[in-house]
Amino acid sequence: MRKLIVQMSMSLDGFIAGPNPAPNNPLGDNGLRLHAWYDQPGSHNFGKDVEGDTGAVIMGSVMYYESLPWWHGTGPLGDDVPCFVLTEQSHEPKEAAKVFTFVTEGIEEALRLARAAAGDKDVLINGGANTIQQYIKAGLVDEMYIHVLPLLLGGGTNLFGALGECMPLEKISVHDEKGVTHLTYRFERK
Amino acid sequence: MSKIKARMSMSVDGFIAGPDASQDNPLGTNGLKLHDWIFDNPKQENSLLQGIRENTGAAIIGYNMYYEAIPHWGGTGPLGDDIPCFVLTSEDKVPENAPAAFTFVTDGIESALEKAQAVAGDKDVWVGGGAYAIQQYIQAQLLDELKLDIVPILLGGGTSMFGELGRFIEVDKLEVRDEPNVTHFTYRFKKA
Repeated sequence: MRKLIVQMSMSLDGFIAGPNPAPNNPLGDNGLRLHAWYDQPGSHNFGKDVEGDTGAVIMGSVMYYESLPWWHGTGPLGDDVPCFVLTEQSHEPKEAAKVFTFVTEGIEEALRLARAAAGDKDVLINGGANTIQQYIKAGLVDEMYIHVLPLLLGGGTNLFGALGECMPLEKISVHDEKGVTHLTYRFERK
Repeated sequence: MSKIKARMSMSVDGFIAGPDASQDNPLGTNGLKLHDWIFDNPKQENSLLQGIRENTGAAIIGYNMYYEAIPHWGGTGPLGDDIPCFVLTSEDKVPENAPAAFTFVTDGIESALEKAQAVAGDKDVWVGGGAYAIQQYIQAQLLDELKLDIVPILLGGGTSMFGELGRFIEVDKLEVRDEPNVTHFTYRFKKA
């Protein structure tokens, strides 16, 4: 346990949000389509598996501000799972639900705090793409759960961008179901 | 019934070649790793190529792929001498000498497809690459089927398989088949 996990729904062309994101359209054009599988009746919910093992969440401040209205006063996984938001001091909100802690000292400090709060459970990086990329580049991510949708969004926010270095992965599992394919990879430690 | 098909090996981060591709190194830095699943297993290599050759009546490729790969094809087309290959290019780039398998098309992707379909008859037309050639056929809603062989690696940069197509397209997932070092996806495009 105590792994650092990334979980994302991604289009076949690598986007986790469509083009033209806006406050009333936080996932961009057609971006909500990436998440339709989540409540699909009758299918095994891999998303809930990951969330059940999660003891703390890390996210970037862009995601925090865009998603806050949708979380109705709690964190992304409710009130019991502490959430650490990477931010700059100038962007720290004056008020926030108590599940959120704002971290201004960078990704390693956020991870240290999240691990301490998570106890025996995993730490989940909830996004956005830039936050995920920073943790991957720093070699800190243990496992990645990617839910691939049979859609081409044609533009938007790219999950990986150009990381600038080659990293081999170990494929742990592939679960295919109607409308979504769940891929799990482990990073090889240097 | 003749179909228009493409097949590509792609990294988890969506690249079909690594950074700094050139004629000496057509797949870019670390790009050959995308093809280990083929070349590490000679049986795989033979059956894959044989499968494509049996069902394909003509190939279409982009000029960059032609230019970068021609030294590696040993004087024939990408699928041998008997499967004609149409190269998308501009007039100033048509080479004076090229192996007989190649025809250079300077008036666009639809013209190349018509020519390829005319010689392919009942067999499939294979859009061999590169990424940009495939993207153009996807954007024009001409591609029928795309196979992606996803390899467990992050290349970190290079040639993006899809780039930014600029339009939303839904596809049907026909098949997902997992092997030790690669996962094979087959998608079908809905025709307009």
